[in-house]
Amino acid sequence: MMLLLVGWWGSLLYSQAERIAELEKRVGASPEHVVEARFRARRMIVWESSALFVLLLAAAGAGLWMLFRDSRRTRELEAFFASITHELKTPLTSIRLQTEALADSGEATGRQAELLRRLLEDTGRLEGQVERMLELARLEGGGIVFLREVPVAAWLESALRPWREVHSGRLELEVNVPPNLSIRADAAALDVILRNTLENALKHGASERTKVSISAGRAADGVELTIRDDGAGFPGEPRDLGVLFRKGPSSKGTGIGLYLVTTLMARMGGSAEFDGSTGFRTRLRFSTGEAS
Amino acid sequence: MSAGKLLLVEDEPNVGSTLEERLRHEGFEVAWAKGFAEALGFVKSSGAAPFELALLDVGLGDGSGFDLASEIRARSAATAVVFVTALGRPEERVQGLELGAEDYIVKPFHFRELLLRVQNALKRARGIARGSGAPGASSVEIGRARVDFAAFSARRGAEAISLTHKECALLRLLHERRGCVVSREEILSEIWSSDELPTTRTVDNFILRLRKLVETDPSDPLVIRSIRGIGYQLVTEREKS
Repeated sequence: MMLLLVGWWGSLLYSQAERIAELEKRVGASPEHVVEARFRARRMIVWESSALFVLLLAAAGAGLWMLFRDSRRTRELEAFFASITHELKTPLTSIRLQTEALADSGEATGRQAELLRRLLEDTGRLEGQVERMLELARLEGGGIVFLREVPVAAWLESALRPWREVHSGRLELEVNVPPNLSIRADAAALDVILRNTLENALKHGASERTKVSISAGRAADGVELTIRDDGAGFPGEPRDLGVLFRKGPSSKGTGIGLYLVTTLMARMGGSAEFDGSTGFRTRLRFSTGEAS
Repeated sequence: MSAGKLLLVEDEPNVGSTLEERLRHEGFEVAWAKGFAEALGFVKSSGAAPFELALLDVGLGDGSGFDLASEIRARSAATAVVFVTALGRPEERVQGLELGAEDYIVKPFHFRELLLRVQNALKRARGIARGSGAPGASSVEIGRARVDFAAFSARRGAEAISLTHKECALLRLLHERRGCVVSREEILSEIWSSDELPTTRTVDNFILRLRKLVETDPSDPLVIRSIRGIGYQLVTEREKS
């Protein structure tokens, strides 16, 4: 492209110089003067074309170098982000294990048991934040998903087990899924989606007890999974939902959760749709075809 | 009576000691290794009483848990492997499961969840070990391969092939019921736990792998036949005649 530009510019100058020489000849200039002028014009064209070429080459090189430097810096930041988050997982595991050991020992009763329950709940919230950061870094770094057949009922039974244990007092789960329904998805990505949706339900749900209904069924072009809560819904602009770092007017979140839901669904060849007008509804559509 | 003999490999002291304590409390006999070399030492010295299950961290100070799993499989094929790691990327999970692990648990986890998955993995591993006898004593001819269920290996001519626990269990189930049709649902309930989220397609994929082992021409299977809409039937020379 650059060569074409310089070539076009050079040939334009050359034809102009030829026309000037022709005009000088017609108005009676001496042949020696015309030859000398034509030589000077050609020399000027060669020098100017070369200078322009070198200048353009240097500008393109500088641009590429800056692009490379920025991309390397982004990669380094993503790697650092991923490693620091990864390092958080081990102490979190230790905190959870030891708190669970205390809670399961049966030695804590009354006030102590309530404090342990709160500690476990907050550990879960911290785990959710770490998972969101790690997943965001992974996806922004071009992370992939591994699709396979996932039986919806079995997945929900296993994925909801810890939620039923830890949040039994605050979360009422109602599941309505046909027994033989399967989707083509990444099971770990499904866990991230479910976690973010349920955490949102708890965060924005009723203070006493939040009811979450999960239903699934076949749709025209695949399978539809709907998660609906009876919380306060979303008072902001609906188009902001699922946009990175975009939060509702009263949200204390990071603006990552629903973006992860949208991005993971897109990576799995499906889509996510949110509606916060009455309670909050997340509708996930799983395509029967291959993921993008 | 012990709930099972476990090898726990975890280099983080707080996680390791809490897990050891809690697993012991649940009735398991636990040997806790804090690194690759120590774990290998435990496996070597276990001799005639091998570990039933190994819980392996992947990022160890002196080596990788993935390499350790391969070493354990080579030295003690009957030991089931479950990875317990902070590495949760899809490609890492796939790598772990392709090494023949029974399960892959990502940190942080709920202890009850870990316990359930350990119990499920042990149940499956015991089912596979049931009646296997000593390596060599239980070898049978299936198609063009000689399969040794106790050693989790097969031989095709001069070529030695190691089998994962699930491949071995599936082949043995079909062999025990040779001549009969075994439905996909029956295979799923015998070999997989529902926590592993298996589907009938999972069974089909394993059958494809086993056909490569036992069939002369996997595209025209004569040993493991598909019975349309139902399941699979293993046919030996006796049933053919």
